[in-house]
Amino acid sequence: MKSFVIAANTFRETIRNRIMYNILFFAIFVIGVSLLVSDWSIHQQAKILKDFGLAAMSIFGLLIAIFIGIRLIYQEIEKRTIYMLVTKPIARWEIIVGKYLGLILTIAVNVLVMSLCLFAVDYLLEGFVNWELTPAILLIYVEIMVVIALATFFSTFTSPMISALLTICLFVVGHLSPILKLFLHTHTNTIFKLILQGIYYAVPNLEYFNIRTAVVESLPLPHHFLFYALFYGIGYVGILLLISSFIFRRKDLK
Amino acid sequence: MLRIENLTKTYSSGFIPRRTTAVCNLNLEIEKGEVFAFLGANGAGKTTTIKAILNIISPTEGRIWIMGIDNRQKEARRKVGFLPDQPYFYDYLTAKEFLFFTARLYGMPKTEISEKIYSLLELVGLHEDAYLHLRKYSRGMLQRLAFAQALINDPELLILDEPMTGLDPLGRKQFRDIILGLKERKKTIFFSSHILSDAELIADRVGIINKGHLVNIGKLDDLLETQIQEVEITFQINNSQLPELKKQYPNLISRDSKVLIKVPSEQHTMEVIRELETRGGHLISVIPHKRNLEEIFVEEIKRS
Repeated sequence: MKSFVIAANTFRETIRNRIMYNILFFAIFVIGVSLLVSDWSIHQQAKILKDFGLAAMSIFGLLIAIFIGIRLIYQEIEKRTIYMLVTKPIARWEIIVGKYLGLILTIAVNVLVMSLCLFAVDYLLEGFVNWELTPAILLIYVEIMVVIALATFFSTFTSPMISALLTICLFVVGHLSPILKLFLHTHTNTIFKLILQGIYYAVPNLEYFNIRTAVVESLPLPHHFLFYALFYGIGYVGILLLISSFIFRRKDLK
Repeated sequence: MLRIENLTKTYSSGFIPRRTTAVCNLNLEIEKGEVFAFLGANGAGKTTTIKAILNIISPTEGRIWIMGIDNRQKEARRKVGFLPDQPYFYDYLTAKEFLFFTARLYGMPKTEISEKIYSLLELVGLHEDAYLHLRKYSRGMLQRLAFAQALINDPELLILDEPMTGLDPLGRKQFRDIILGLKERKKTIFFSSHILSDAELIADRVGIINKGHLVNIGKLDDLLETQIQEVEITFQINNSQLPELKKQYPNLISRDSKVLIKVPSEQHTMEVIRELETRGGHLISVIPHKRNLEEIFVEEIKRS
């Protein structure tokens, strides 16, 4: 599939753009947190480290996702490097999918290295590798995948600035999904309820992927939760890429 | 090989949308093995036509077929090579990496690519810069690389948008030779150009576009042949004949015992030759002067 060729090139592009520098900041942050709380008990230190570490991983990953994702397609059009792609025997959807796969591969490497860094510092603190963090990290990654798909979607038809604004807006609304649901149950006005329902179902429920507290506090997760979360995230990505490809299919690349 | 039927492209621009027609009702058919020069001033519609052929933009009306396949299908572009008017590349890649990437987009097997890359880099004179990042390339070097990538899939149809732009005289000669080599191999070439002398040297057929309308199309030989401006006749003749001849042909130029007479059309050429022969002259040369492509082009543009 030609998408893999484009994905490999996108991966090379993002790596050569030195986005991996964020890992260095992440490492400094994690070590910094562990030093700051060094006077506390080991149990508390580990908890804070995991809490802050996972939150930082999510923020760093999302920042990269938004700021590279919004330029993913737009930059190709702006710099007209897209001419080199669309004039080859490639379908437009293969370009969208290829660019997307390239970026999520970069983020995967990024998240993996950040995880290793967090595991290592935690190991130095607790004396064992805390594999329980893995589901939380996996869902952080799925959330990033959804956000990249949102940014890619917007970048097929609007400028990076507007794409960034829209993606951030949906990111915030996506995390407010449980509150939206609460409103749905408490409001009686039909029109308002319909609007809220529309937003609730259209915007991805990003809070669904946030199991950080549960993991850090060692709370049990619902049965098959991870499977449903993965299915939901990948399904949402699929739909967004499908719509993006549809928009991009007949787009004039002036 | 390439068929364009009723191609029209209009754009809307501005806050209150205003429609501009870039190409209007264009019909073209390019045969296999033909070298076709698409000529026009800036903004005439050349690049818009090329973009429509390659499915970079969608026509407002009309359809295009490449090798009998609708150009919207990706299969139509499998045997097409494209050189854009400006080389737009990923500057973080080296020339070798870029050509490898391009070859993979055509689905070429990895085992065949390396050899192909080196032969192409050698062909365009970039073999010593294969490992240099493209951000360090000059405009001319990028143009050479653009040509190399257009040839990577051994295309049957080459679409070249202003191929000579940005090249030094040596580069232009090199490109011309490559195009002539491809012509010998019966490749079909569709190119747009501002440099009419190059078009005159390479093309079999020429189309002139102005303000989106095709204003003239024909075989280059036919276009030039029908446009003979004057004929220069050179004779060797005894100097004693000169005063009489000067009366008869006021535009006569003489030096030593040679005379040059310019005749306004082919029809009078034989009359003049006979006249000079009866006066004991010896014919040295007869040179017809055709209008060059540039003159025809300017005239067509003014007329339309």
